[in-house]
Amino acid sequence: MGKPTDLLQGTLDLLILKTLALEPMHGWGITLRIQQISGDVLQVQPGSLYPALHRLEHQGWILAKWAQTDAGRRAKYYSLTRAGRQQLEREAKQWRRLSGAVTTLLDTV
Amino acid sequence: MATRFHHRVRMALRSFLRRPAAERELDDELQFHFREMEAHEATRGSARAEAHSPARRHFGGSDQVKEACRDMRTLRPFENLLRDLRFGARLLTRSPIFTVVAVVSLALGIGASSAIFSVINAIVLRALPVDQPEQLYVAQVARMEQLDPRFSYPAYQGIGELVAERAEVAAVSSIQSMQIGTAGSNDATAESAEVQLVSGDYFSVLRQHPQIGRLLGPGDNRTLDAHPVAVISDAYWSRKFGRATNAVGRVVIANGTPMTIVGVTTPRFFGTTVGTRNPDMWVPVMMQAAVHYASDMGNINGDSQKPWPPQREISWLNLFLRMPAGAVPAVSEAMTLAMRRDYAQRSGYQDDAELRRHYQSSRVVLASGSRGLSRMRGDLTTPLLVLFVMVGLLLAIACANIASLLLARATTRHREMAIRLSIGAGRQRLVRQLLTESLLLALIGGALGLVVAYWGSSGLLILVNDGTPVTAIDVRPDWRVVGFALAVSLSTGLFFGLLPARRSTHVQLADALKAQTRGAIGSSSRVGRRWLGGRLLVAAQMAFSLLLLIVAALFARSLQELTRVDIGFDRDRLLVTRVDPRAAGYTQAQLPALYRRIVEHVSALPGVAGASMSASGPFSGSHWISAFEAEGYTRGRDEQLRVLNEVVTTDYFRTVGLTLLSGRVFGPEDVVNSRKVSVINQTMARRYFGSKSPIGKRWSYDEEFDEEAFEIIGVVQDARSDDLTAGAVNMAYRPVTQSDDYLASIEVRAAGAPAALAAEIRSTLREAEPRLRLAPIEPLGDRVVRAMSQERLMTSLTMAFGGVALFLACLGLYGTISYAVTRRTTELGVRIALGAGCGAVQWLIMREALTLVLMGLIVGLPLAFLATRTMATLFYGITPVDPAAHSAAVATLVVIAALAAYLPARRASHVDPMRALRSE
Repeated sequence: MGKPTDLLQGTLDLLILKTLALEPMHGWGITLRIQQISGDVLQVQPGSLYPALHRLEHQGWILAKWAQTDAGRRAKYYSLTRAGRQQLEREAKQWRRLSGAVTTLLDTV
Repeated sequence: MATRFHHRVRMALRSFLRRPAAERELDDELQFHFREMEAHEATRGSARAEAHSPARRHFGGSDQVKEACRDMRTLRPFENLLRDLRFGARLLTRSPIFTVVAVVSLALGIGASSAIFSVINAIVLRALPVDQPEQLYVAQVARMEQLDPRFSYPAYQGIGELVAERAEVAAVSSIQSMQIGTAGSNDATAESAEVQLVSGDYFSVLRQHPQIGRLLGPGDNRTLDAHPVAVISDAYWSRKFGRATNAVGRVVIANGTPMTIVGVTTPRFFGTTVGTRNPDMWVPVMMQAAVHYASDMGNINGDSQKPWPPQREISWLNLFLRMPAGAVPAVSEAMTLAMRRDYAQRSGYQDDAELRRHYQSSRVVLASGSRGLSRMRGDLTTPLLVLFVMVGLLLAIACANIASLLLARATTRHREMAIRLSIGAGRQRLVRQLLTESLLLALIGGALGLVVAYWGSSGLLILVNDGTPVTAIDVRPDWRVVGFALAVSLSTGLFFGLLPARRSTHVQLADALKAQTRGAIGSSSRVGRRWLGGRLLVAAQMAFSLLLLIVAALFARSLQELTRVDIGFDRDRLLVTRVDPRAAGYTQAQLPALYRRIVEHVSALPGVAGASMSASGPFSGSHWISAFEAEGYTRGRDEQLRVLNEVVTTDYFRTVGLTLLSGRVFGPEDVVNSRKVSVINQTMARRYFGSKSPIGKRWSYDEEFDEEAFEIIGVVQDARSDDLTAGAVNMAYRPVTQSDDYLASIEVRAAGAPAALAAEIRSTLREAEPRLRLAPIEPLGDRVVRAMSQERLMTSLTMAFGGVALFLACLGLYGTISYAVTRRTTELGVRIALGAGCGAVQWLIMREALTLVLMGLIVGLPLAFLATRTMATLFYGITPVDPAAHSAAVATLVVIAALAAYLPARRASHVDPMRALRSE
């Protein structure tokens, strides 16, 4: 089994914000969603996910609320705040610029 | 942006304040995650055993995940600190004896140094509580290597006009006790209060405002005797008038003169003198004669019986100048030139080349006046610094003991640290936690130390002041003292904590986790190295305590020399007291009869062998020094002859016990209009008349040996006047019948035990002269002992410090040697099993201890040599290399240290070889 791709510093924040832009979700849900959409390329470990969630919460970009899951379990759901939505736009723009630059570089050389 | 910030603060506070809830939520959240993950793996259909493994793998790391989440909290460092503090406190309560010993020794050490510091702060460092104190300067005249801060009133006026553009000048007298009564009451209810005479601009130069009423102004200082007004201090207002506002306008009688109170100063203002007494009342300079002010003056051919303010010849005022620092050179230059011009006009010295040189070399020096005037400061600064350094060393010795204990504990906590490191605690984090522990210890010690300092500083002041409480100096801890205590606590905490903390976290994990072996012979090198630090600490403790012991021994030797001084007077049989006939209202004409009556009444008492009166009196603290010329003696250039004057009644010499060496003493034949006579002391006779007899020769206040000069009729033995440490001084006695000076001292010689006489003397005099107020009657011996009070104080304090230092150092030695014995139990067992004798084993251990003592001596002796050299002026009759003091200190140290080492050495020789070998 190949080592899961290490996420670039800051990329995880972007992924979390993007995932939460669709709907409020709990930590496990975020893990699954990222894994599914990336086709198992991106695996998020709880050791990185939860500290990131707590950091984002402390920065006021996401909001945490306890709620029932479909299965009737209590879980902590995170949702995007207005500030978080703006942050997502900023980070997404930045990411596109960065990845575009890297792609251009790879194509030319 | 504002709301974002708001949100973050709220989050930080919430997560901090709701820590238990936050922890629970974190737990729940992660548990949910792992449970879902397990379920997810299970639905993927893996085998059950395998399904568990990833979840469990993750779960094993959940502590790290939690720790990483906690790190995201904004107040994390603070949380850690709290946790370390809690953990530290728990550890400290778990070893209460260590904690109590450490905290108490720190509290005493920090407390003692803070106490001394707060006295230094109050006397030496603190500025006057006035606006912009740094602009204040005190004028002094530097003439012939002496500094005289006293000026005459005309000189003050001249200076005021001279520098009017650049500086403000105020004049202030010394503080004098006066009898203060209330209007309408009789003299018997009068109480004494401290009065200071000031010029009209005193309060404006100091930028003072009244609390009620008004302060003195220039209008209060124009005409001689015409300004009967007084300003009182806040403290006096409380004490005498209970802070009643109608105190302003009340009339008080000061030394017989009615004065109206016009105002009260603010509570902060205590005057401009830092000393044992503060003024209760300020009175205009012009009232000097009216209130019989007579204290601390220099008189060159003036008449002290007439009012002083108009006289250029009488110097009695200190000058405070207020100006920006930049103006100082110009102002002092102008003052210097004016002073020289003034001398030229006055004494016509232009004819005398020698005098001209004297006066032209004199200068006016402006010293900083921001801290006020203080004789105490000059007297106490060096002794206080010596005590301060000593107590600092004491604190270092105490810290070394705590460091040793912590080092020992570090060894026992070796495994704990290894385990914590191995399960992932950061080394830095552990050092921080250990340091928190020692800082906690130091801060508790420091807090208690402040309490000690609070009591200690007033106690120290009482000791400095011959046992009388000093209320005039505020030694309550201010921000400086608290800051000092905090700084000392933190640095001691770092000092004794850093080494053990580093030591205990530098662990070879593999080694440490293996069962720890007791130091057998083979593995002792590493342990030995660890203990080198402990040994060096002990050697340093020995060196420091040797230094303290040597200083203490030097003070003790100095005191011993001082008590051996022959004061000349009969100190065992003499009672002395003081009176003030002027304040009691006697006129000049009534005085001769009064003196006669006092002497007669007292002499008539049973048990009294003789009575006399004198102007100053033995060891009274007041004296009158003047310049003189001796007949037939040629002064050298720069030489100035000075003599201590004393005016006495006929029986003085017999009463105080001074032996007549040649000639005669005063008798009934010496009356007002007979030839002026004088008796001189041995030193004066030897210095100026050499081997020839001085009888029949004359001395004079000026250069003329006319009818104003004094014929020498007798020579008496030398006597000390006040200062035991001063060498022999010239003294000249004159009969009261030929002088109109006041006599203020009464001397009584007891036939038997003097103690019982005091009450009788007092009641007899009260009956005979009800107006006269007597100061306490005391044996002369008490006054002499008081004259040595500073030496006694230094001796007892340094002895105490030295003793405590030695005790602590020996405790350290005992601990280190005991540990060495425990560590070498196996080795000692083997030696004994192989036939080593009891003495040989003891010597083995003693040698180890004595090596440390020797190291201490080798470092300590040169250290003491260098340190005590700077203190030479504090010792009387000995040099700082006094062999008796040094050998006593070294002997004490060696004997006590040997005793401390003997206990573990004896234990070593009783090691049971069987048990020692089995326990390996």
